Amino acid sequence: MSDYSDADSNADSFEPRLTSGEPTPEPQPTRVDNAIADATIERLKVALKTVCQENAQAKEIVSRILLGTLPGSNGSLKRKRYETCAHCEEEYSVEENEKGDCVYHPGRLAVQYGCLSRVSLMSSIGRKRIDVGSDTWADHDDEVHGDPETLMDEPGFMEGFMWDCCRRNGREEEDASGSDPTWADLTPLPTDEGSSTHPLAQIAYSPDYEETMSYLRALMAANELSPRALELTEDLIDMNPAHYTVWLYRSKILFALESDLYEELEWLNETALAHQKNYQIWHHRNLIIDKLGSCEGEAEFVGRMLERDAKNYHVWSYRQWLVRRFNLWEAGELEFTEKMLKEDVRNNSAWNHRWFVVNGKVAAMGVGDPKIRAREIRVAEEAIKKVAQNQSPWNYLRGIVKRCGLPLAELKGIAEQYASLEHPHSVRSSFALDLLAEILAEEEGGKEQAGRALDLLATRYDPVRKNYWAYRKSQLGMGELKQAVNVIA
Amino acid sequence: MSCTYSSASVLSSPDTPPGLDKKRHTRYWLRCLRTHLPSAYIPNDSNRMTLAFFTISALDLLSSLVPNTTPEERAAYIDWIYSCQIPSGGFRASPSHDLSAVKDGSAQWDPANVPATYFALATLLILGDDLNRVRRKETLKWLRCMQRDDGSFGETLVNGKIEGGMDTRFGYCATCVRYILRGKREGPDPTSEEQDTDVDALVECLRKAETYDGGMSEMPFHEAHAGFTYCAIAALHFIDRFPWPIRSQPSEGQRAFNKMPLRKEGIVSTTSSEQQGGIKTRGLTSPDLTIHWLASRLTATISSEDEEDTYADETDTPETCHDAHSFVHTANFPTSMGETSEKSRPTSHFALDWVGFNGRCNKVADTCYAFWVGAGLTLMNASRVIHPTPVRRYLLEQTAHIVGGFGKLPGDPPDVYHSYLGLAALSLLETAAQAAHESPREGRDKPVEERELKALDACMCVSIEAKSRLYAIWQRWGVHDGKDWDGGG
Ligand SMILES: [Zn+2]
Ligand SMILES: [Zn+2]
Ligand SMILES: [Zn+2]
Repeated sequence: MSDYSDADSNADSFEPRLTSGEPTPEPQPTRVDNAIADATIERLKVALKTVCQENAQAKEIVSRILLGTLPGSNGSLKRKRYETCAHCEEEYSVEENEKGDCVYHPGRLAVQYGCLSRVSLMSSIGRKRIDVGSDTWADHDDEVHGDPETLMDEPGFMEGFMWDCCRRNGREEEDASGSDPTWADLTPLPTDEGSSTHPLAQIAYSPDYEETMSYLRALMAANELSPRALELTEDLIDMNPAHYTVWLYRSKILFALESDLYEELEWLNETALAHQKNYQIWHHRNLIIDKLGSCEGEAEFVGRMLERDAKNYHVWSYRQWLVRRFNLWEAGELEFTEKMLKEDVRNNSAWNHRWFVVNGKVAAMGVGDPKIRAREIRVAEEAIKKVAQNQSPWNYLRGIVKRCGLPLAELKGIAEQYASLEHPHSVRSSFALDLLAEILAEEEGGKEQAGRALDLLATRYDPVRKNYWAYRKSQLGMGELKQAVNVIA
Repeated sequence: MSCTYSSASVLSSPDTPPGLDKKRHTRYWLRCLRTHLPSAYIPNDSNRMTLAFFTISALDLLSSLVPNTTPEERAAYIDWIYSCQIPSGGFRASPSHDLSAVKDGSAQWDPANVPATYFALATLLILGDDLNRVRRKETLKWLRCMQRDDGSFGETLVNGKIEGGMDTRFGYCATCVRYILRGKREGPDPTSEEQDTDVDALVECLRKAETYDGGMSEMPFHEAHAGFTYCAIAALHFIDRFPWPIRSQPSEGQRAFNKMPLRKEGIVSTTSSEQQGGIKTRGLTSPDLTIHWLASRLTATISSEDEEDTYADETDTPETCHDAHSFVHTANFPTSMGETSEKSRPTSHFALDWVGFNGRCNKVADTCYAFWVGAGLTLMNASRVIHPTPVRRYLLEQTAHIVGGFGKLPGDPPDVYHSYLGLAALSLLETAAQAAHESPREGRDKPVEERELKALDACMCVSIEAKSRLYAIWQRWGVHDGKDWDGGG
């Protein structure tokens, strides 16, 4: 590995790089400007960061050199004054480039202004995109010639693409990272399928993915904790968010570089929306929020995620974590579940969250407190009044009774309101009938009636579960199921 | 009710369940085996061992593995799996994570992965490998490091920290690895002298994840989920801590101890088996309620259109569930449209033709839950609570795809995950149907030629035939004393 990564590893005191066998060089007296001249860029970054942290005046000076004003922010918000183009290798001034032709420069800049497509957001090592102005597409017919996105690597179509970082034509250079000094010191590690002649579950990796992965492996093998590694994890996560170590690697880099965690959150918001079924994202979010020690804005974000999928398991789990971590038991959580249930009274995730808010606090009495119990029973009964054929509130009622160690018979009243054996034609909830059957089975001499309730369920009100009701009846020792007709007659 | 006929629909009469098109499914899986999976699988690149397992095990269930592959090919698959083994124990989940080409510093970001280790060992068994090259002692040692103080297992170990969130899937995979490598018996392993994992702590952890409605979640107070419920039940089987068989009449003592509270709550002050006179804490505090919860996952709501309220009788809810809905009387109609549609309701309920399973309360059915729930019920010795025919028809007429394999929902393109679990579910249904009609011994002894699919071991999720190979391997290792062997299943 080069100086670059060595310097970086040494900067991380947790991961000492042991170099055995080499003699320690004789120490020589030197001056600070000589040391600056000889130091690696990464070492200087660390030094400059330290100076900024320890001296406010120095921080001011550095800000003046490196930061410009964010347009439209009245001068209160700053942005980077310089960016380096990952493809054309040149540093450019963001301000001077404002309306010029280099708006396609990559990296965080794009994230902050949100003016570019996702494709170019991922492009810290430069990516090709369709050049809509190119003559190549003038007579192009997707139906006949194929989707332009799929032609990126076809020799005949190179002119139709441009590098998204600097708008150079796609024909000019194909391997952006290969020519980029940012990556020149790194030897990518290609995928190794072992010596097997028949690897299993091979995937048609896109050139992008294979390349990003190869560089990531090289960085991870060197345990490099650097800005470029941080950028690369972003690219990789976007393609493969289920990678089980890249997230850990990323958080380690973030903390080692003392990166801006709010910036990380902004990126995470976007990523979470793009990959709603991924759980690593939420675990990572836990880490960041935990470190920040503040959950400001989190409830709103979770709310936005639930607007897209009101039953997203990870989002609800994360919300539980927030409540525990920041002690939000009394900060509007019950009201939140009410709001969610008003939108969809069948949202079982919302019912479960309510159960958690009421009973989940360590040493909480929860529904063991008669007042709370009465309130929760009322909430469930109201929901049943609204929609009786809804399993969630019935389960909720059973849960209350069970947790309090009360007999199920406590619920006989409400069950009979919706399912009475005296009126077998007008059962309004199969869940009420199920509950009633269970209550009757426990009653002295109630087995006969329980059996009738189960017959009704099996043959009329819930035939989907016919075999289950038969099984329940067999547990009563009551013989076979009877047809509902006979039961009613 | 709206019901979509998927393109693969081959309609059959309600009484004769359709047959499985083995040729078509075999073709699908051979494509997965022999060609690259499309780049849409890139987000699954870190689960390649899982994809490999699905491919090999599906072909095995179809009895299509040996006829379609040469011994040399199978040996090469085995080599590939071993190329993913980590010298310090366990397997990595994908060659994409392999950093072993770099000599030092690489181990940190290339750790073994708990699910991958289960999938690797299971696939080796299916391929007929003797597990001779498995680093058994190292893997047992590593497995112990994967367990947290609270009894749960993580996914991977990075820098001495257990990573991967609370998740009973990891507990399931860990107990399966433990079972394969050393059987059910507790205490130090007699051959390698490696200490055992903390079985009591795991049981306690699983009991705590029971939910108020009888299901199980990944951790206390999260929502009950069929996947987590299956994993907990199967894990309890692997460590021989499942409650006493429900079918046999338990003695009073056994009954009491199924309901034994958690040790922290006082009554069971210690968990070492000696001190309890040989009695150990078992999982599942209320098996009947868990069966109730699992049976409640059966649903006629099989497409997202079914989630819309087609009777317009509950105008205030965006989603509704058709279970029993078509059969239950509605007392009051918020809309006249609802009343009209209730009156014109068809008298025969085609809702009963196709019945699927959802993973959570009030959700739409999904192919994979036919396995998670079906296998959970099988392990609870309660597979008879399902009527196999409508579930078979749901899988074969609604979610099976014309090119082979299964999609998640009717009409969805097939994917490797749902395609495998669809087959696994069908195998269990076949066994259950045989148990109901023919063999009192659950059809286990039925010759392979007479079955559509090989009989599945509901616990390990491989064919019973593959699992049986463990017997000889255990004898060779000297970990088997004849008591552990349950004959598979
Ligand atoms: Zn440029
Ligand atoms: Zn409705
Ligand atoms: Zn699924």
